[in-house]
Amino acid sequence: MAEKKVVEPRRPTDWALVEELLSSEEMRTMFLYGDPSLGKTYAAYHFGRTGEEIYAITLTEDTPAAELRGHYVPVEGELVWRDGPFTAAMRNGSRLVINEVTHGPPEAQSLLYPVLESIETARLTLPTNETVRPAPGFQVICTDNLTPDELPDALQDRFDCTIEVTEPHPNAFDKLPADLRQAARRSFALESARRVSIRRWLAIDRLRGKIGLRKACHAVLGPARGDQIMDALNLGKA
Amino acid sequence: MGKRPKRRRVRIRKQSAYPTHRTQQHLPYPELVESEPNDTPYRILDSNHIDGLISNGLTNKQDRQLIVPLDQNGHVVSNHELAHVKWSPEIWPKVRYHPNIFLAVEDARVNLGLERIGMPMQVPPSDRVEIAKLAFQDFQRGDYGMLILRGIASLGTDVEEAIFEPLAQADPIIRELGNDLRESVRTRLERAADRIEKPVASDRATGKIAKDVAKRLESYGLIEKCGLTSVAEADGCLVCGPPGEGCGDGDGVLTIDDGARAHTRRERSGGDVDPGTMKIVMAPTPQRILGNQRALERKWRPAAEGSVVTAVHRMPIDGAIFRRPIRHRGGTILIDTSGSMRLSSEEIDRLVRVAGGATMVAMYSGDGDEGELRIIAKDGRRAVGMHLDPYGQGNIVDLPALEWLAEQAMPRIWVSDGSVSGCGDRGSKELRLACADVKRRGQIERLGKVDDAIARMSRRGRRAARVDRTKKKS
Ligand SMILES: Nc1ncnc2c1ncn2[C@@H]1O[C@H](COP(=O)(O)OP(=O)(O)O)[C@@H](O)[C@H]1O
Ligand SMILES: [Mg+2]
Ligand SMILES: [Zn+2]
Repeated sequence: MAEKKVVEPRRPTDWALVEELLSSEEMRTMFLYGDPSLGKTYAAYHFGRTGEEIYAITLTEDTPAAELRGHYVPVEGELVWRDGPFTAAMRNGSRLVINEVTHGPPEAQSLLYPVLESIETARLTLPTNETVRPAPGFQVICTDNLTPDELPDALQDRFDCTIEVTEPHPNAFDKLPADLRQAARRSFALESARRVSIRRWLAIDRLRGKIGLRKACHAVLGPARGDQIMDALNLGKA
Repeated sequence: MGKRPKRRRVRIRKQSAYPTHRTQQHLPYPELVESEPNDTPYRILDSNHIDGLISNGLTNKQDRQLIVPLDQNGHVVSNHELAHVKWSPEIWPKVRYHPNIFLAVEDARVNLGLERIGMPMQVPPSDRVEIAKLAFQDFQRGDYGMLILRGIASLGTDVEEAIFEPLAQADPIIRELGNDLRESVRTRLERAADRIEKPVASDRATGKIAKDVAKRLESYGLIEKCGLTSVAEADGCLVCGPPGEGCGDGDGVLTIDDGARAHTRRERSGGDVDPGTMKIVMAPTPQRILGNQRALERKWRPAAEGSVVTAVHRMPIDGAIFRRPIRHRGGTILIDTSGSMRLSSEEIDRLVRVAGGATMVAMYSGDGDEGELRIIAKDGRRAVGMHLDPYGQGNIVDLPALEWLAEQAMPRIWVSDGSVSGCGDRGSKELRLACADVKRRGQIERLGKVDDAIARMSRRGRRAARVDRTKKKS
């Protein structure tokens, strides 16, 4: 009763598969989920579709659906329609990246139903009465810290693939110098009170040149935790 | 020959031994010093809240458990324990002498190692006084064996002098023995380390030294003889000094072994676990929650951009002819206050404090076959004091509590580690699926921590969505 969580071994993430899928034209909709800082957003922005415009939005519970679809903007006394990222990505056949999709309000999620439909049936009718259909190449990648269970069944069902990310991409570790890399590998999966994400390690590494490693640890993690990490690093390499 | 030391019953006061929000910043990172990576993280407990400890630092590499004081002064103890993680044997061996002897020499070994790598153990002044006091008590009691062991354990630290000091007044034979062991243990450990060009001596060399120390102490009758005993039964790191205050009464305690066993909740394959019976109580709510009490009627606000035109008359005024939905604070928060959540009443208090006027907050937990769901904030008023203390240590009533939540105002937030149980605090697959189903149907969002819920509450009504267009270059 003291602690109920059974520690399950972490399943490795097949990052090669994620990259392959993101480069495939057949893959239209993906739900990529896992703990923060594992590189989900990075993957959605950088893998496949290189050199093209990518539309990206981060949902919060206050995101109005109109912001996603588009809205009128007054320009010199006239109202002009502006496409939102959903509409623009569809029109241009681009990739649309939606971060933290489960955090969106129900209205925003409702707007996802028609957008996530198959290429033949997906369409959005705008308040201008225009109906937008996806141009070839339109792709939707949703990233999230929460599991797909947080979404309604019907929405879950609309993703071509649903992939859990459990560890950072190897390239992310390679950005760190050797003396921090092992610590980063061992600390990203600790329980949340002690977790140090790769993002934090990258920040520590960026700052250390100017202020030294200990102070960088203090600045990024706070003095007490910074000291704990610093002493563990020193002892680790002894 | 010889008897084994009595099994130590170390008692962990449930819940409070686990790191709280306040103590978390002092958690050490043993995983970073191990030579081999290991997927199972260490379990770290706060020795400030464990009853019956002789020492405030304890490492068990086999069970991957560390007991250290989670406070500023405890950092030096944590470093000492991390040195055990780095250099001590994977499994504490069994020895034919008192296990405290082995551990004292082991302490000397890792402290000298810390000294060699430039991280000497520097004990904070207040603790140094405590440790010196213990040594003096050993002396007064005539427990010279313990006194000498304490001294050996402190080799390489800045409390060494203080511990050996009382020995100067002891019988010359004892004094000589003590000084001799002090010197020989140090030189032998250092030489052994030099020989292998490592910061510390090998396991074998250290074991030999310990055995010799045991022989000497036993021959002088300064320490009781023991049959084959695991070093895991030793009293802990003698150099770390006594545990701090906070060692309270003996109620609601379990032994470390019980705790470790309870670590993994057995799920019964049959799955015939019934949820416990739940009573819903309304705690007295004498205090008003300060803060945003704005009326909740307005659902829209005018805006200059939008897609639904509602106020053409504003065009010449401010152009805010569209309407946009306003989101209000509100909804319902349900907190799992079972033991595994390790919530302190301060944490619950903080959450209740930020709960806006329209938010209802309830907490639940259980014991045996029943539990309680207690409403602790409602209509802008909140409960205080003991009404924020958990009802029981178990979950028991997750299912009825979730069913209750599914009927309350949206958004519905469940603060829980997600582990659920029924009668007897047992879990089952069926029960888990039933809870997952209620959660899904009720559009309940689970957050693992009180802080997440607090962040969620204070985020509300502020941040708008960030739209960023990312141009990618190949
Ligand atoms: N494949 C990668 N290559 C290089 N850096 C990466 C990679 N993946 C992640 N990162 C680094 O890690 C940080 C966190 O990744 P991010 O995608 O924002 O995480 P998430 O979306 O999972 O929370 C990024 O800012 C980036 O610096
Ligand atoms: Mg992200
Ligand atoms: Zn020790």
